[in-house]
Amino acid sequence: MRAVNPWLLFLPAFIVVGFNSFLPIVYAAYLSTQRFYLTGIEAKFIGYDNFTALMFDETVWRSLLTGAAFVVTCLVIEIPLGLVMALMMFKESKLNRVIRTLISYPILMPPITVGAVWLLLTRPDIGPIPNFLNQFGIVYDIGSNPFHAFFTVVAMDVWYWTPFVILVFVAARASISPEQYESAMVDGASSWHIFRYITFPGLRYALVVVLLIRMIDSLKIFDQVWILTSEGPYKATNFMSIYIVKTAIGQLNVGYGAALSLFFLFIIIILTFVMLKLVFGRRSSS
Amino acid sequence: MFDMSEKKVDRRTWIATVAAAIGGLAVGAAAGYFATPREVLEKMITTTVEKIETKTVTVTGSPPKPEEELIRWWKEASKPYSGTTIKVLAQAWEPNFYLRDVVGPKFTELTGIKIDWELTSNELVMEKEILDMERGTGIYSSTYDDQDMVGTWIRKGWTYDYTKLMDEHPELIEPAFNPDDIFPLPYCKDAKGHILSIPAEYFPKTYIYRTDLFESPKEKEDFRKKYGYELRPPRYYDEMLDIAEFFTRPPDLYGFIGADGAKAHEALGFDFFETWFPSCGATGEGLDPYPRDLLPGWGINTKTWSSRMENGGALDSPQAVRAIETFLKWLPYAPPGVRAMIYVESGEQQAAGKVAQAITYTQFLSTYANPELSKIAGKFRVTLPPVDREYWRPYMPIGYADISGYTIPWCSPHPEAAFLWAQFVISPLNELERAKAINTTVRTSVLTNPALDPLDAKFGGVFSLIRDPIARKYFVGTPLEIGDYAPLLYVFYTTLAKAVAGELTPKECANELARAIDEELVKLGYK
Repeated sequence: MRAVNPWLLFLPAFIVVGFNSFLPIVYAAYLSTQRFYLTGIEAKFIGYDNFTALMFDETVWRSLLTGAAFVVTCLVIEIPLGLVMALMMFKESKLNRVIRTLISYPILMPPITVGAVWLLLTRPDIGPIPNFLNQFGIVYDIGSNPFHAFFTVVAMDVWYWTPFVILVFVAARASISPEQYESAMVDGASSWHIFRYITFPGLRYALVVVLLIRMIDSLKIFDQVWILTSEGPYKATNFMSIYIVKTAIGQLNVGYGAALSLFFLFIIIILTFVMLKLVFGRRSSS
Repeated sequence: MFDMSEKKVDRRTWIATVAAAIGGLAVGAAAGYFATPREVLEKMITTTVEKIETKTVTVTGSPPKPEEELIRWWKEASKPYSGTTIKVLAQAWEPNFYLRDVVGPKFTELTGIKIDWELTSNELVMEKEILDMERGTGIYSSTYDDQDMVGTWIRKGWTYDYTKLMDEHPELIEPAFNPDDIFPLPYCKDAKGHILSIPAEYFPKTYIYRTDLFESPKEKEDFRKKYGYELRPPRYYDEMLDIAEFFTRPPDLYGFIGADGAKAHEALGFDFFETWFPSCGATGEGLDPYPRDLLPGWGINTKTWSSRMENGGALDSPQAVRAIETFLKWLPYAPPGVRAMIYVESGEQQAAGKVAQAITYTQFLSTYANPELSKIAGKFRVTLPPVDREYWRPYMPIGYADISGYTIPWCSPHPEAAFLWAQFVISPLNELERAKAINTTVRTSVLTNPALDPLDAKFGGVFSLIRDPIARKYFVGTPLEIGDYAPLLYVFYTTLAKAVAGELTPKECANELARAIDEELVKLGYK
């Protein structure tokens, strides 16, 4: 029987990945070198002019800054909250199972539905949130107040994604062997020491995964924000994804939109690389 | 001194006298016309609108053929295309649901031509049809979109020329298809007069007010005491703001809302060039034809392709500044959260009876008139929108006519069948029933049909309003010179949003808008 080149076995995967990821990126790279409006104007090669333009585009930097603030705020809330709740409900019991099922409900919803639900919750005329806050004299308006818009999107993200964080931590906590806890207790370790030296190291890789996924996800956030606030007052929620879509689809400026997309992709790759290096690099050195 | 004796006047003297009389009358009329004080003309306009309920308009065009004859024609003409399926791309909303559910099946039954509907959002219609036409993929046989796009089709040449199609296939022209009867058609033709889109909807963007409030003796009395004049639909924005202030009684009633809310959204852009800029005079005079060198609402000069005053444009003019100021002035009288609203939410506020007056899309009137969906059913009326007292001049546009129609992409796989469908929608076989169901028609013969009279009051007098050809002239479509609607709209709304948010003063915003539009026009290759 003739030996088959083992690389051939990778071929289907190469084709799928290449078609799904590589080709669009190559096409985006091509578009980014064009002055190309989707309005029938002849596309014109302009080299790296689109990239030069984005370097001087105030909205790009403002959007990145807004995105960074959003990611940090979300992670600072979601990770500790998720961790605490996971530790409270990781034990197998009927009540915990019910609670875990109930709190998982948001992640089953499509993002577009989440946006629509929050739009109804926050509508100044019929929304329960503004009506509740009005009782305390707080005028809540995501249409005119940039802080309200920004923190409402943060709240929506926390509501939507904290259950995911909880589930990952619950699974990770369940995988730590009980013997370690028993030994620690026999040795008289305090609760803090048990958390510091057993629980936290056991959850470290789950933490990295959650951080990585949530960071990238939060940076890319689009659907919910598109529905809820769009770019928001004072562009308070004009994240890069929103700006890219408004440029490429709203303004039909496909060439510049492609350049923005590639630039954004580059930033996400760099951030992911740094995160992986920080965590796994440290692991291999230790 | 004078010879009073009877003397036969010769023929030459007769002719000279009559000619002098006619000439004198013409000169006098012209002088009178141009010298008529603004107030008199305004009065003429407003009284025209007030009187139109009793006005009768002569129906132009040939009378429709009898129904049976038309049905026979449709069966015969469509035979070569029977069994064809045409894919139609259109916006997902009530008028198109009606076409899908009522008119479409009737068309299929008569002609054997099936329709595969793709109903989606307005933005996606635009994006998908442009992609289809730009790439020539030939997915859609017909697309149904806003007249805003006709300028784009003219500039790009991406659609079938109906006039040529009719020349090539005279056998496909419905005997009742009479271009003179289709009143929004001038907005769907190119400079040569060729038809690029067959309109099927005409919805003016009007002023709407609550008759239960405006006609209440107590409210009238209180208003007179407070402001010193009668409570009535306002002619000017200062009056509108008085009324807005008077009726602002939170949390149940607010004074005013614009048709598109005030969210940083595309709607903010089109609200300005549809309503606020024209009604504040940021445009040239002249209605039909409008001044081709200064585009109504858009403030762009087509000779210089600039929006700056120094180049004949108007976006940094005092009129544009006034429009932005006026927009900001009504915001305090709007329901809370107006800065998070677009046209949908604005319509909801109106239907919920939350506002005393508004600018509205008349597409929503059938909802407002439905007591199951609205609290203002039977309690509203529409009329011409107010204007700026200082800057608006008679014979300037006031507002916008939202016209939609069928275009055939150049790569359409079934242009003939698509042409038949476009005609069928507005065929006399359907048009009257369609007008009754969704309160729109594009045919003068249907608009003036007494069968619509009982519905006129239900829909707030909208038919009366647009039956008047003078009043109708004040609502203009998107200028046909706008060949890049979407990119320019983006610049409009993102810049105007800064004024709404308070980042820029109206003056700064107007200057920034003119600068940004000029920059975009260069990018788009206009100069």
